[in-house]
Parts: sequence; C-alpha cells; structure tokens
Amino acid sequence: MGGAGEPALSTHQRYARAAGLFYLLVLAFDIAGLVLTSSIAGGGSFAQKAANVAGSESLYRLGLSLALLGSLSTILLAIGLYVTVKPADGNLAMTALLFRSAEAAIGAVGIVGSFAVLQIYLESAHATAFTADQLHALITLDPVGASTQVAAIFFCVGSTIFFYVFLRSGYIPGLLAGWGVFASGLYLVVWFTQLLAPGLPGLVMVVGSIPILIAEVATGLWLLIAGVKVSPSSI
Amino acid sequence: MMSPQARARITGVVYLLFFVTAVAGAAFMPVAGGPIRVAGDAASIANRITSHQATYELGVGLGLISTALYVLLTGLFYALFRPVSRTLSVLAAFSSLVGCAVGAVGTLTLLAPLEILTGSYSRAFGAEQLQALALLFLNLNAQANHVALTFFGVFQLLLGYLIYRSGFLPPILGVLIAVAGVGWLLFLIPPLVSALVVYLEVLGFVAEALLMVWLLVRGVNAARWAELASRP
Repeated sequence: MGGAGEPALSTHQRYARAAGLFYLLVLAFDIAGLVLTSSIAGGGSFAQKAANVAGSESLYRLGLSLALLGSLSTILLAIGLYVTVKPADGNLAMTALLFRSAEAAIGAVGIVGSFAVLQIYLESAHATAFTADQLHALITLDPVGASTQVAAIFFCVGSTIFFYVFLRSGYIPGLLAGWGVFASGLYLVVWFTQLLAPGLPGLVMVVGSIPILIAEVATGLWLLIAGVKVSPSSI
Repeated sequence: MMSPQARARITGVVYLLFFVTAVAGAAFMPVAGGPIRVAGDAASIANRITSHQATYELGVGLGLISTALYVLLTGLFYALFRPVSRTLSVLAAFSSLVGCAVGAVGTLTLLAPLEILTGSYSRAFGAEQLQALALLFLNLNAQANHVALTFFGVFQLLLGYLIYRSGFLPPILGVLIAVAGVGWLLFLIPPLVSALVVYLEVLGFVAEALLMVWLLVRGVNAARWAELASRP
C-alpha cells in the first residue's frame, strides 16, 4: 500500500474534485447574475427599465459582481481541468486552458460593457444631454455587446477539447465525456449560427443550451463526488 | 541556465519599469483616471482633453506600455515561482494575464474620447452630447480598471502565498502582497470600495514597491531556490 505514486494521485484527485466544484460554482454565479440583473430590469419601455434599475442599483451591481465572480471562477475551473487531464494529453490540455482563459478575458470585457449599460440607465434618471430614445439606442448599441457571443464560442471550443481528452483518457465514464463533446459541439453550432443569423428564435438558444447545462452539472457532480479513475503509474 | 539571482534581478528591473511607466502614464493624463470615477463635469473634462491632446496621448501610450510590461512581469514571476508550485504559478499567471487583457481593453477606451471630441462628429451630435459620450467612455475605463483589479487580486493573493511558502523571499512580503490582493478583490463589493479605495491603493502600492525593491537589491536566497528547483 502507499507506493510512490500515491501522493501525486491524491493531489490529482484533489484538483479533479476542485474542478468539479468550480464547474458548479461557475454555473451558479453566471445564472444567479443573469437572473438577478434581468429580473431587476424587467420588461417594458426603456424608461420603465431605467426606473427599475435605478430603484435597485445595489442589487443590480451585485448581479454584475456575481457575473464577474463567474468569470474569475472560470480561470480556477480551467486550471483544475488542465491539471486533471494534463497526464492524458498535455498539449490538448494547454490548448483547452488557453481557450477557456480567453473566454474569461472576453467575458470580463463584456462585464465592463454591462457596467456602462448600468451607467446609461442611471444617467437617464436625471437631465442628460441625450433624449430617452438616444439613451435607449446607446444601450442597444452596447459598446461590447458581441462579447457574450464571442466568449461563448471560445467556451465551446475549450469545453469540447476538455471533454474530448476526458473521453480518450477514460478518467470519467465514456457516456458522460461523449455527451460533453456532443453538447459542447452543438452549443458551438448554435452560437455560430446566432453570430451569422442574429434573428435566431430564442427557443433555439434555450434548447441548444440544455445539453451543455446537463453535461456541466453532471460532470461537475461526478468529479466532485467520485473524482477521476486513474492509475498511479499514468501520472 | 540563468541563475536565480539573475532571474530575480531581471524581474526587479521589469517591475521598476512597470512602476515608472504606470505612474508616469497616470501623471500625464489631464483627467483623473484610476479606479474611481473621473472628476469634474463633462464640459471641463472634454476641455482638458482637447487642450492637452499630446500629453493625453502620451499618457495612454505609457499606460499600454505598462500593461505590456506587466505581461512580461507575469511570465518572469511564473519562472521564478514555478519551483514552489507549478500549478499555483500557472493559475496566478493566467489570472494576471486575463487582468492585463481587460486592462489593455480599458486603456483603449481612453482613445475613444479623443476620437469623439476631435473627430468630425459635430454635424451629427451637439457639443454637449459629444462631451457626454466622451465622459461615458472615461467612466467605462474606470469600470474596466475595477474588473481588471479583481483578476489582479487573485494573482496577488496567489503570489503572496507562493512568496510565503517559497523560503527564498521574506514571508512578510508574501503576507503584504496577499493582503493587497484581498484588497483588490474588495472591488467585487462596490459599497466597501468607495469607503476604502485610498487605503487599498496605498496598501497595494507599498506592497508591490517593497517586493520590487527587495528583488532589485537583495534578490532571492539562491541556495533555497536551487533546492526547490531540484525537487522531482
């Protein structure tokens, strides 16, 4: 018992479990941030949304901070996954890490844009140089509006690679890893289509995101609870 | 292979260059940039930008150079602390690189006011509207700084831990850098930041300046670094 590979194996499992935890945390932060900001803004006219946001400014800022925490946690997740799958294929692991880090950077720039949107909402509460229609147009323009789509595409590529290495390595059940590859690939197609044809119905986006949501939650839970199946000699 | 002392001194020199360009860049800006909102009304800020266009551009340029130097510094820190923990060094490096990317985008938003105020947009927009748009981009830069600082917060927290564990640099430096990192992470809680921003900036500056001076003057304990680097 307790060969030379045991400490390394234990460290490897710890990183795998940390990756599992961060899979869930990233989802939780992103979803909580999105739900909070969109529920505060609500529907209706620009003036109504601006009044809603101004009335709950602190909560709206909290929503944006949660989105930023999601972006920060993406790096921690990516490093956890990188260390976990590196013994199986170091080059692919590094490639996936770079894609997920680029996703975090682009996502963070998108959050900067969201703060600009907040500022425009707040400006509209008092006299400004712009009419309400002009401020609404500025929000629609959103200086970094396409960042979500671009970040999503980087996410999809990174996620596909990580799941592919999981599939090849046998660290997690093949069905789970295979589903992850399929779901990430499908999500990539959906986001590219959205980029090429922006009028895509919202339902397509929702349906396209369900498989990757299932894959991330299931893989997160698997890694957190069961860790990875790996022999001491392979790390 | 480069000696650990040479690595430390090169890191210190790049650190010093970063400090010089970052401070000079901020000093040349005719508007109060930094992590809090710009001061003054839109008209007076616009006036300061257009009447000091050359120094404004110099400030933006120096800001971009300081960001590039921090990318280089990140790589040097990775090489210096890899023997302590390869994984944590990678994590720290990637956090810093994302912060640098956001910071670079933030610096670019400083060029937008110049274009808006000096470009030929006066036929489409009134003077007051152009000034308000310029102010919007300046505030966008402040928000970009907030976001970048949270990534640097993670970086410094990890760097502080690596220094503390290393044994080749004084542990107190690690504690100071880690505390400064926690300070930058407070930018996630805006109400706290508005009350503490001056203290956080002073703490961050002192912690980083001490680390820079130590690397330049004393370097690292070369024997301890070599011992860590020789571990399997």
